[in-house]
Formats: sequence, structure tokens, C-alpha cells
Amino acid sequence: MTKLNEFAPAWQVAEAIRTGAVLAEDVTRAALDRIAALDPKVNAFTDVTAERALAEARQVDADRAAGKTLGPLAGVPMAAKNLFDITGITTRAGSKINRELPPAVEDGELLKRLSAAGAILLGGLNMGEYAYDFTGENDHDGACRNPHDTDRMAGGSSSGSGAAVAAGFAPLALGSDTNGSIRVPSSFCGVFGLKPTYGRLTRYGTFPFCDSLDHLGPFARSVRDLALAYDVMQGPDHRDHGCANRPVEPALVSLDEGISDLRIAVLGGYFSTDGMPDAAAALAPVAKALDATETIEVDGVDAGRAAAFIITNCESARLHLPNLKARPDDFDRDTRDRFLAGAMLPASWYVRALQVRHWYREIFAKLFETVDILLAPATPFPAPLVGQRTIEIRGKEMLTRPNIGLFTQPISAIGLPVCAVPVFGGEMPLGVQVIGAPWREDLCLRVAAYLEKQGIAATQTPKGL
Amino acid sequence: MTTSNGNFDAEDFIRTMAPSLGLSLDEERVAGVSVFLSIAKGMANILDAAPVPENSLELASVFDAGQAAKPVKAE
Repeated sequence: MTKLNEFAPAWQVAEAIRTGAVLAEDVTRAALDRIAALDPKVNAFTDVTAERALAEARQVDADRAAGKTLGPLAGVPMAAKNLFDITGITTRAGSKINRELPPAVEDGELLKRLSAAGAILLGGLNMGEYAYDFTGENDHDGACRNPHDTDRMAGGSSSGSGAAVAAGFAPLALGSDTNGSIRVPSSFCGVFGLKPTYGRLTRYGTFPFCDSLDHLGPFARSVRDLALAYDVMQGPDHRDHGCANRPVEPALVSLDEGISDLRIAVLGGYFSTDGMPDAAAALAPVAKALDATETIEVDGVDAGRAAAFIITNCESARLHLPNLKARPDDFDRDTRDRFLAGAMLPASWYVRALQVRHWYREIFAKLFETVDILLAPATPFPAPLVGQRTIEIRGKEMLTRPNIGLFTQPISAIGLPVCAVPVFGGEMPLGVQVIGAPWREDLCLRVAAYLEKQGIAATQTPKGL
Repeated sequence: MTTSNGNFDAEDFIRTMAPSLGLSLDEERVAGVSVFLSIAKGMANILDAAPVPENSLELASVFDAGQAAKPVKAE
């Protein structure tokens, strides 16, 4: 039997299992052993579902032995941010409060779809409390640390998802992104992440943060893996009122079509990397490889970001108001006062934010008449140190937390699809956002695949472990 | 500490609003929350300044009234 490298991509793992080169049970045991040995340094997992994982893996092996057709992800280990319902486990959503809830009686719908494709669930992953976080720090579960340097942040709020994939614990993970929570950990941990169009993937069976802005999506170490997972997760679901009633539009089939027919430009103005040497260094080779010579300055970006800020603050605070009243001290110190502030926002601020969001969406709609893909850094800087409160941006000492999402928040504000691709220029990685028009995840993934093929975007084995 | 944003006094605002929401906040918490309320006020100012056409009526998502009820069969 072949022994697979722990950093093998999901498609390769699935192929090796399908051809009988390895057993799914052996792959699963190796992943569980690696988690047991190395996760104490990373703190990516909050729940390990070893028994379930081994049972699922044995079933895959039994199905193969019986000559049954295996799913496209048969035997591939995966893990999910702990706001996804996992049967038999309480959905803590990064909080202390939710641990008092009963265990979930069924998996979240996206987990079900991945399981139906044969993926093996290894467990639930650390996250910032109630997803209101960009750092990966958590008062209750401890900080999730960056596998490339465990003194540094993994990024949040899907911290465990980015870290687990980067550390080689699983080739696939699920996370959520409201203002950047897939793209930020992708950037800091140096992995690929896909935030699909708002409404593309069902959120049924996950704990919400902000209904108007919540997205779910996958993390992986290869673009092919992202596309594989994304394709099996697509499809309508009437139980999520935000889920669009669209047919499955596969992205995998067009992944290798190249970029010759695409108009690609760099976002300037608000997204300028002046005074951000690490972000500039990550963006430059990507733009060069894609021959993106035009820089476009877009109006209204700061207003779009402000709209996302107010909508998030207001909706999430309302969700948690009963607990803010009854037990404020049980919240993470870094989320509680933000939620309390959000509970008090005047309604006119919220309504204005909704109005500006519509206006801002039309600005980008017009822009996408002349361009197919836009590029911008995912974060202004690489992963800061855990606990670092301030950071220098454009020559000024600024607060770290509110500025991590500077470049991601204005994009998710209007639900555009983005593939975050990892670029290793210096010691630490920094991601670049490949941004498409609504419902064109296929183009984002196609460009990401091209960058991967050219060796511009790639993951690296972490030195921090 | 008083956190102001133009004529907006975040701490005064919080002390006024909190009882209407059933929140009981001590002065230390008022100060902590005021930092974030002031940031939100800054965001609200940016929103107010956005050149949205004055006749824009797109205030919110369109409400969906749901599916038609199934007709009740006569016994």
C-alpha cells in the first residue's frame, strides 16, 4: 500500500482510495494521529470526532470492496468551523453560552452534502466568538495559532479552518465569511479559500452571525479541491431564505481553461497598497502573471464598508440581546462591548446602510460590464502576533483588529464571489483576492487555478510545527 | 472618559438608551461600549455622506410573502 503525504490534496487522496492504493481507514488514522500529535501547538480543533471518522472510513473501504461507485470525495478527511451543526455535538459557535444548548440532532446541510460525496468528518474547529472576529483569538477556547509561526494569529473568525488546512490536519475545511472570515485566515495561514456569492450555498444547520451578510465556503490547499467541494455543496435549499434558487453551476469542468478570454484589472484607490509593503509584494506577482496592467479606482468603497459594518453590528447585536441582558459576563471580552454598542444603533443608521448597500452594488455591477476579474490584497499585512493590539498601516500606528478586514469587508458587503489565493513572498504568507461578478465563482476559481499552475499562488509546508 | 464624535456624546447616548433595552451598564462598561459606538457613529457619518440619489427608494430587501396556501378540500 502507498503512504500518502499528509499534505496531499483531496483529489489525490480520493483517487488513491478509489484505485485501492490506500485504505480510507489508514488515511483517517494518519490524520487523527497528526491532530493528536500537533494540534496542541495549533489549537485548531475544539472537537475531534474520531469514532465517527473511523466508522465512515471503514464504510468507504467496505463500499469499495463491494464494488460500489464511490463519491468524488470518498475517504477525504474534512473538518468544519464549530458553528456548523455536527450530530451529537453542541454547536458552540465559539462561545461559552451556546455550550448549554443540547447537541445537534443532525449535521448542517453542507456537511451532509460533503458526506454524501464520501468525505470523512474529523471534527469541529476553533473560531472567534459568534464569528465576530478577525484574529482567531478566543477567551473560552484559547487562541488558534498560525501553523507557519505559532506566535502569530491564524486569523478569524474561521481560524481553525485556515489553520487545520495549513497544518496538514485535513485537506478540506468549511468556514463562514460575513466580512472576511474565510479570506482573512486564508491570507494569514497561506491556503486557498472560496467565499461564494451571497446566496449560493445553503446555511441551513449553522449558527448565524448576520443574516444579511453570512456566507459559507471551503478552504483547501489546492484550487481543484476547492472546486470539487464547492460543486458538491451547490444547489437550492428552501430552508435557508437567503439561498438562491439556482441550479448547480459546476466550476470544476472549466478549471483548466486558462485566462486568455478574461479582462482582469487591479483595484486601486481605497485598495491601494501604498505604505503596505507586504500587501504590495503579494499583489505584484499576481497582477504580473495575469497581465493585469490596468488599475481601477472605484467610488463608494468606504461607504460600502461602512454599510457592512453597521448591518453586521446591528443584526448580530439583536440576535444576542437576550444574553447581553441576562449574562454579559459570559461573552468574550472582545465581542461583548461591540455587541452592546450594536444593540443601541439608531434604526435610521441601519436603514441608511441598507440603502447605501444597494447603491454601492450598482457601482460594481456597472464595473463588471467592462471587466471580468478584479484583484486586491486579502489583508493589509501578514499575520500579526497573537495579542498584538496595534500595527503600522500606511505609516500610522493603528488598532489591529478593526483593520484586518479593511480589504475584505467592502467586497462581501455586496456578496461578490472571491477566491483568496496564498502568496509566499517573505517569512509569512499573504493572500490576494480574486474577485468576480455575482455568480461567477467559476471565473474566480479558473484564475486561481492558473495562478497555481504558474507557481505564483501555492501553499507551503509550515515551518512552525 | 467621554468619547465624542462631533456633537455626538457616545457615553450620554448609551446611558439614555440602555434602560430602554433593559440593559444595566456600569460606568466602566459604558466607557468600553462607547469606544465601539463612536466607531459606528463614524461609519454612520460615512453613510450619510454617500452620494446616493435623493429619490432612491431601495431601502431594504424585497419581502417575500411566501407560498400560497393549499386549498382546503370540502368534506
